[in-house]
Amino acid sequence: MRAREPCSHDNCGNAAVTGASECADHLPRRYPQQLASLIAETHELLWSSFERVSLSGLSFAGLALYGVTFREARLEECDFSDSVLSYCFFDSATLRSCSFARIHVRSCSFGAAELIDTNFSEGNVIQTSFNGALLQSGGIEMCDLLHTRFLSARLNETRVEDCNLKACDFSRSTRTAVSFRYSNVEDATGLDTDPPTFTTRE
Amino acid sequence: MRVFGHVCVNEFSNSFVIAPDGPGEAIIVDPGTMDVDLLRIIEGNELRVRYVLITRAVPAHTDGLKTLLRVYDAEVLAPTEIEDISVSGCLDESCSMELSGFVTHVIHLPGTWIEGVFYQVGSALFAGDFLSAGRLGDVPQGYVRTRLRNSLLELLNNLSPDLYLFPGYGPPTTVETELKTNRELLEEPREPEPQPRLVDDREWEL
Repeated sequence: MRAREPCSHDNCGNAAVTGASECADHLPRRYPQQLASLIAETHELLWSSFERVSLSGLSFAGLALYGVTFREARLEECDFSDSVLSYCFFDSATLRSCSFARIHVRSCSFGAAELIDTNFSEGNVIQTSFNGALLQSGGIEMCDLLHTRFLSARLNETRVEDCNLKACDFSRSTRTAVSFRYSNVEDATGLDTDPPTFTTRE
Repeated sequence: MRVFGHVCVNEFSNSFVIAPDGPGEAIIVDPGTMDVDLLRIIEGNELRVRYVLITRAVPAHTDGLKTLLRVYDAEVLAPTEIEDISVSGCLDESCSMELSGFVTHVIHLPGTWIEGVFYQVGSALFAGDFLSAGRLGDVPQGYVRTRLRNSLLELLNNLSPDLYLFPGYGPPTTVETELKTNRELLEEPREPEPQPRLVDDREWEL
């Protein structure tokens, strides 16, 4: 593994992001206004890289994103609504207050990412990895999560409601104040469910 | 280089198309099925399939081969022979070669029960049945599993953490994420337990 240096900013005790001299909190804000207008004019983003940058308030709404990398990026209040995401990598990224409404996510990776106050709703999140991720104060609602993995993930104050959890895997995940209301919990692996109760007639 | 993914619906295994940035020759990894979606990826991007790489010769990764070879004149490279298919090259040891302009590294993990190989093409690592996001390959518990884990750990630690990892099943991941979060991989590495000794026939004669 590549060794990580301490962040170059004064009095910052965090480790720098791989390949950068700053930690995630002090990453430079690249891709300014020109990027926003460029994205607004396009319909698809293919094999692009937004690695180790800080993006704020950017709209990816209504786009097809294929093979796009957001590894170790910091995304704040970014909008991915009405988009199609395939083979996109958000590994070790921080997503804060981002929106994924009416999306179709397939074969993407959110491994070791931090999703804070980030919401997925009314879409598909199929065969996607949230392994080792932190899901804090957000939710996944009315989504098909077929074959999606949450191995070793930490879910805190999160709603996973009205979702299809068939073939989902939550093994070794920790869950605090998580609501699975209206989701088919019994079809998922790694979720502790109450043992079935049987009644016998006298 | 572009990598297109395709999920085979019958076994939920993954196939991948490795393509140049424009039209040209392509490589297919593990064609578990040859269906309209895969054909659309190939033809829609004006690609010609020149090579087929098989990570492990099992039906989930080879069932689409016959149909694919009727359509395209491609060479098949695999770690072992495949029934009814002419294999151009049997990759029985680690090596490097250039296929359709892509430098391809064949990586063997001997002694791990899985008769397969990894392929590294550019920044993509095709892991086949050895490893999946957050999981080890499907091998029996005990000696075999410990040996697989130790071998994988050694391999991944020697690769770039930025490599994208495309497994035979399940979502994609990266080498760095697996080294951070794959608990099955990161359990305390230990010496493989000795294999059970086979009982000699004579020992039964009391």
